[in-house]
Amino acid sequence: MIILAIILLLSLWMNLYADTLTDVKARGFIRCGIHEALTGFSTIDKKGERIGFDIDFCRAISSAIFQSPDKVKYVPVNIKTRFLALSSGTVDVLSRNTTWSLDRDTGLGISFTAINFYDGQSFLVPKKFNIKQLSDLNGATICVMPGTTTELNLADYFSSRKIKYTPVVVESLHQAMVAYEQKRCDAFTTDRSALEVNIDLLKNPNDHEVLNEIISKEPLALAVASGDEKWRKIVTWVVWSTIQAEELEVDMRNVDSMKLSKNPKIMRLLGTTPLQGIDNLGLKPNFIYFVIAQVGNYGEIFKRNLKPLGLSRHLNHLWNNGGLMYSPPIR
Amino acid sequence: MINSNHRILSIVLWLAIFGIITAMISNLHLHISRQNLEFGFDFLLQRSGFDIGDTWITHQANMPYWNAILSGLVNTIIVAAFGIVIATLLGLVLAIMAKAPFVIIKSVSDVYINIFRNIPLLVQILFFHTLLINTLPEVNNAYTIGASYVTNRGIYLPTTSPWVLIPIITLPYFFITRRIKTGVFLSVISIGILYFSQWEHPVLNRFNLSGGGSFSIEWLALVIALSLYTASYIAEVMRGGFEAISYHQYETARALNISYIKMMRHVILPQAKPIFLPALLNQYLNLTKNASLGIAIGYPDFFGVTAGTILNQSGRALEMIFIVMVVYSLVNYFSITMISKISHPQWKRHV
Repeated sequence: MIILAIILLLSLWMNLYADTLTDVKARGFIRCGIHEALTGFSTIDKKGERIGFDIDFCRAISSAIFQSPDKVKYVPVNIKTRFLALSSGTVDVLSRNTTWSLDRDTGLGISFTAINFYDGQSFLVPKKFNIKQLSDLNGATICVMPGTTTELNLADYFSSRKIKYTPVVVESLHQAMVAYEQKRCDAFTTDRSALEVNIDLLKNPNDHEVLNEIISKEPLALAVASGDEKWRKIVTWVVWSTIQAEELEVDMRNVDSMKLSKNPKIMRLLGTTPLQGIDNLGLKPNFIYFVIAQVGNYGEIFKRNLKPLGLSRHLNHLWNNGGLMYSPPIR
Repeated sequence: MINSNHRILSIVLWLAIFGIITAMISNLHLHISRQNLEFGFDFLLQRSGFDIGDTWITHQANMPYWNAILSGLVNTIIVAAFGIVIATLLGLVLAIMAKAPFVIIKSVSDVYINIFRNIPLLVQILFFHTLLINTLPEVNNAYTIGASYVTNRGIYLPTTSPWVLIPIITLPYFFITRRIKTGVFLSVISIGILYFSQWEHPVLNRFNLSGGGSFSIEWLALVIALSLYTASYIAEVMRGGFEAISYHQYETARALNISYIKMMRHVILPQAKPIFLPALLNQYLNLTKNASLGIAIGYPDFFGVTAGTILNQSGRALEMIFIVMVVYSLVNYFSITMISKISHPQWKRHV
């Protein structure tokens, strides 16, 4: 009976608990759900530390909360466990090149925050097939990762155009590249960024190409568990602040001198003139200063992680530079 | 005699168990509603949106989720059926070899069993998959055997109407029951039918061999690994059965100058069968459940389709895991009941 009472109390107590920020502050670090290994987005460097585009956004959140970018525990999650890990509270935030879609936003107990990368689905094919358009792939065997939006896009696109294909599912990016290299499949489809990065890992990268045709919109965004509005706003505004900082040309190097700037936009960004509502986020008024000083603005994060791999910004340019990166005003 | 203390203790224990289960369910319910999730199986009727490549029952994007579950289940059952037949035959041969009066034959069986039993099944599946993909030729320079092709994507065979198979499947029955004349008559007819029926040959097009039937490389790797692995256990199970038979039986048979194979077949096996049968059925269940490891090489079996793809695409983790557990227990329950029903009268007769 005592055991029973304890269990009942425990379950009640667990349900009352839904303030992620208090949780995180008490714990002393955030738990960030990441990709195990995706070149450019999440890898381990020679010193054994996690680096990458997705990693930097975990670090940015840490900077905003703890004024230090290193208070992060990285939890590798795979395609299957990522949403459950988030909705069950195993991780506080998911920064794992995950596509934002209505289905996922409404049906899984998770909420998306802000888009930090605009991707699109493309195809990796050997040059010798001389593929000019996707319909040339009629009859091909195509490798695809199960449980991804790319699997659905592939089926949608090919069936609506009556192009025949045989899907072969492969559990991970690495396995897919091996299967493709061994000619188990004629083409491999996933997000263009992943293909462009991975083509260099093939034995003869020059014999292969990533098709220009894009068959889907893949806005990759950070996600949090539903039900904690404050936490969702924190993550959202951390992402946007990096974009806004790039727009205002505030970067890691000049952020300290920018503190003296008389530009009201920059003064608001760096918390020199405190904003009304910022207290409600539960963060320091100058949290963006720490994000920029310790991690950098969006452009810097992109340049550091993705530019060396030959990825160009395409849609990820700022809005005033022909891209889609646009932050609501910080005021 | 149960004294009252025991009775009170057991009531408390039962209440505690009941309480824990109730608490778990209510906690689950609370969490589900807190996260704005819903629990229900309506989504199974929705359009699935994904294709499955390698199936016996076609599944396409415009078909509902339940059809994907079904085609995954049929995939698992067929893998299990092939695996069980091959593993049993191979296991039997190995067990008979293990009791053979020749050291060389004995040690062959011994080496086999020790290798395949001691390496994790997952490793073996990955090994055979890698081996087949790397050693078999690419699709555009496939090995050809008649109108069949062997490639590192799979084996492609010519096909014809499935009705043709009926006389061929029934053939062994007539030979086993020694109705040779009917058997020969049927063979002539089936050869005739095979000769005159319409065949669909696999044809090499720009990318692939298409037309005809095929076994994918994932299917082959899975069936081979499952059969070879389970055969080593089945061999041990059967050897155990053989060793439970009194040595008098062996000596009597030898005294009557019966050959080793005949002795095993007519004297030892019928007596050993009821002894090893329960353990053998366990192996069949293990094989069926182990087919779920096909997920590692991308074979769309029941587990991979339900707990993998559908779970991901629909996000219904609780429901899908529930379905997986219920279906596995039902399938295994029915297959065990069926197999023991089939085997029961026979071993009763011999004993």
